[in-house]
Amino acid sequence: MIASSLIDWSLLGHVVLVAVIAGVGVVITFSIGLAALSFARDTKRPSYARLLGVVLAVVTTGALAWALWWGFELITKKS
Amino acid sequence: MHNTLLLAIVVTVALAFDFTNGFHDTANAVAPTIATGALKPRTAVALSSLFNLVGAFLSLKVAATIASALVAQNLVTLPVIFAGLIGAIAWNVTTWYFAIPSSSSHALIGGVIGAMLVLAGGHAVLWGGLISKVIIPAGLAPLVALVAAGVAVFFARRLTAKVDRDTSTWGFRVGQIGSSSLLSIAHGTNDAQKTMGVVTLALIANGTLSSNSSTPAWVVVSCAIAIAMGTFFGGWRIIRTMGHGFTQLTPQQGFAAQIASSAVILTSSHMGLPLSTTHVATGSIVGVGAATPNQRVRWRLAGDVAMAWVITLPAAGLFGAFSYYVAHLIGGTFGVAVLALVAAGYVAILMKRSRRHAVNATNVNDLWGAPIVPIDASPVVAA
Repeated sequence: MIASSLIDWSLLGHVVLVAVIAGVGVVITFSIGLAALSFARDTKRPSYARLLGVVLAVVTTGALAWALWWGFELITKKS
Repeated sequence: MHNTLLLAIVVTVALAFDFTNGFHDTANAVAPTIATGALKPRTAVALSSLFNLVGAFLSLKVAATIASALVAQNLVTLPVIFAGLIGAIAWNVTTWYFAIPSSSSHALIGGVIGAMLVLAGGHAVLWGGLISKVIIPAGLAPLVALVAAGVAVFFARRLTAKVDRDTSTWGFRVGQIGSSSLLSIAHGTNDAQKTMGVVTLALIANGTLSSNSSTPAWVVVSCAIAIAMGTFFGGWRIIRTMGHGFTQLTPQQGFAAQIASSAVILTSSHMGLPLSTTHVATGSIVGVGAATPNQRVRWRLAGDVAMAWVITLPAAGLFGAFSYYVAHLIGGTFGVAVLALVAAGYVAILMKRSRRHAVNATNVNDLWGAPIVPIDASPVVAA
């Protein structure tokens, strides 16, 4: 009862959701990039591998930035 | 009201706490990176130190929470803050000696609250703030990190199932350099601010700053440098527990754990929640181990550590209360100075005793359960 009256559970729920989505999202993006990189290496086309390496770095960084920006915006509006 | 000498002692002790915070919590960011061989121990610690420094400048919301939401600002005195800091340092050094990854944040909060209770009683503590900003997040954070890291490593394993072992190991090790850096930024953002909040509180208590003032720039800079230096020093005993004690990490698991931890800490820092980065990092490491089939997780060790988390607030509170009582008994600035010397002696004794079973960059990756061999031990030569 005390905890219920002190805490905005809806806001806390958003924080948890954003944290989980951001964390899991970045790991999924990175793993897809790594799988694509491995595939490109297997095709014996090193230029594809290099290109995918760059794409992997850009997409992962972008995904992280977007996830955090989106999450923080959401929480800021909510609070 | 103004006591410059006392203020100087309190600020010095606060920076000493910040140093122990960095030193104690180095493991949070670097343990998986070192355990999986993504970086050499010294390199990992140096990189983490740099990013802790960067992170300390990013936000001040947690500092504001510490300074205003946990105890009644108008009742706080310099000896209370001093005693709280001594309590936190004593608990931090004790848990470091026993290689327990406990929360520096809860030690600090517990120490200040314990001293405050002796000074002014229960009404001086903002119990609502303590429950909503500290206790509930403390219970939730490791569970959220555990789930996030577990789900993340599940997807990582599925998505890279056809990737050959060498490429996977190389890729995730490279990723770990980034995830470790991000986690160091997150740690710097969340933890350096706690000391900033306490120093701000001391400046307000001394009348140097008015109530509800923001944190001065020199406080931000000095706290950032202190936590970075502590991180660089490296709390190897706890790094070993985090990196090898709970489970044996692969680069994939280390990456997933560190990204999950970063996401939880950065999100909570944005909300001004002073949660424990240690709890989050531990939750993530246990989470990736538990989510991997046929992987051993040492649940008994995890249980012992969780028990240490539960007692951190009250234990640091007792240290803080006792420190305040003794300082008050002796009286004045002299009492505070005597207690500071006693605390320094306690730290020195534990440091000296720790050398009997030294853990450092050379043996931090030894197998868990194997005896720790001090690097300066001379080999036994048969006669």
